[in-house]
Amino acid sequence: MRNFLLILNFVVLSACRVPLEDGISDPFEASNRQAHEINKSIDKNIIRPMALVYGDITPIKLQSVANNMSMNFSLPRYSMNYILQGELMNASRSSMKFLVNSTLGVGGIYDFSSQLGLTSEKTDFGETMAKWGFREGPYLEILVLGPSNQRDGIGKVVDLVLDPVGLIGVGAKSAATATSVAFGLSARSQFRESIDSILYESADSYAQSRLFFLQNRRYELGTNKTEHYIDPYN
Amino acid sequence: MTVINSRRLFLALSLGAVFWPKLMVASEKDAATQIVYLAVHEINQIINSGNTEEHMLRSFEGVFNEYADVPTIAKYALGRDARTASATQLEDYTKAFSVYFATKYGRRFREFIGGRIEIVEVAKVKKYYSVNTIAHMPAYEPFEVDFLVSEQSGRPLVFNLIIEGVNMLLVERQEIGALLDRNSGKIDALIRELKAF
Repeated sequence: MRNFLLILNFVVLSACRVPLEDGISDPFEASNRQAHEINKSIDKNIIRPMALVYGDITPIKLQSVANNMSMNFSLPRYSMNYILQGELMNASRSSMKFLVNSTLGVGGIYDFSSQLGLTSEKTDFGETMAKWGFREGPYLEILVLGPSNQRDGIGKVVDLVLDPVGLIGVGAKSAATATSVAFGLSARSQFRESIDSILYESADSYAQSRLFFLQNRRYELGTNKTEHYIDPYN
Repeated sequence: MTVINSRRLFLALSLGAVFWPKLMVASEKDAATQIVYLAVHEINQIINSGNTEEHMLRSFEGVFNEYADVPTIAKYALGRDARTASATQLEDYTKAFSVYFATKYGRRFREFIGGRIEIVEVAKVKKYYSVNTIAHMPAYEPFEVDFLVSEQSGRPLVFNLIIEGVNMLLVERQEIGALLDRNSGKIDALIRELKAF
């Protein structure tokens, strides 16, 4: 909790209230590029080979079960962040979804609530900070965690430390971790062509990852200033 | 009889004049939807055909050549250097780019195997149409793919894709720019690299 306050304090001091984003701010490019090379070698030597084995030997139905459980374990975190954002309707939807899937969906194995039309958008502490008015800050490529920015990097740490699943019990916390690793491997395997193309087939994989991350993140948060209006005919 | 016919014709023409702009917009919109519908239909067929990778990539190449404005995408990706290139260089570059493009995005669409793409809505954005679709995947949450369609080349063609906010034209301009940098700005060297992709 004390760490959390320290982080928050740092955020408050370093941010100003302009939520819309445009362009790329990358003052730490040199060290980011070093982190990128290390991350690439972690992917190449550990994550990618594990993901391909996992993806090839695990039937898609079983992967789907693990992915559903991982999604279910994320819901308490969504609820917490929605409450912090003042989005009470969304907070109750994600809490309700967690209750329904944990009981009728047998511990989250089935996404039972989606069949009832009960859906929940993802959210995280980075988005919470964005809603509070913090800018994304400079681009950061973080060791192991990958492409991020100052605000969302802090958000990731806060989400990891303050995950409410930990309150349910150690068992739930380990199951959440295990299924989220399984989800990561499953996604790395399913989207292998796209990820390989960015990391290993592009001329400048660092710049490509940065562009992908920033555009996708701003789209998720609705903070992209320009709507990417490009008319190549003029 | 002829009088009535010409009166009817006049009436039809004046009605046409009044409603022409609207009619045209409606038909352009329909044309944009139609082209994406056909492209998506063919992509769905390819990804669920059970064919070999090589076969699928070749089929995707056909779809891209038919429904996408590859020369325009190629030119945008080259950016400012398109102006300094000679006509022959541009032609060679465009040819090399289309093979690179088809292979690269064919592999991406291959990831959709077992899934399907569904058209959700069509919106006019300034001079083009954005056809919003959702890709449904077996074990993942669905994600958004927007096909941007313009008639500015003479017929409706897809000139950009936005996948979960990631703009393909920007990605390709960055990539081609980096390839050029790696080859000290020499277009001929870039063409050779694209051909080898």
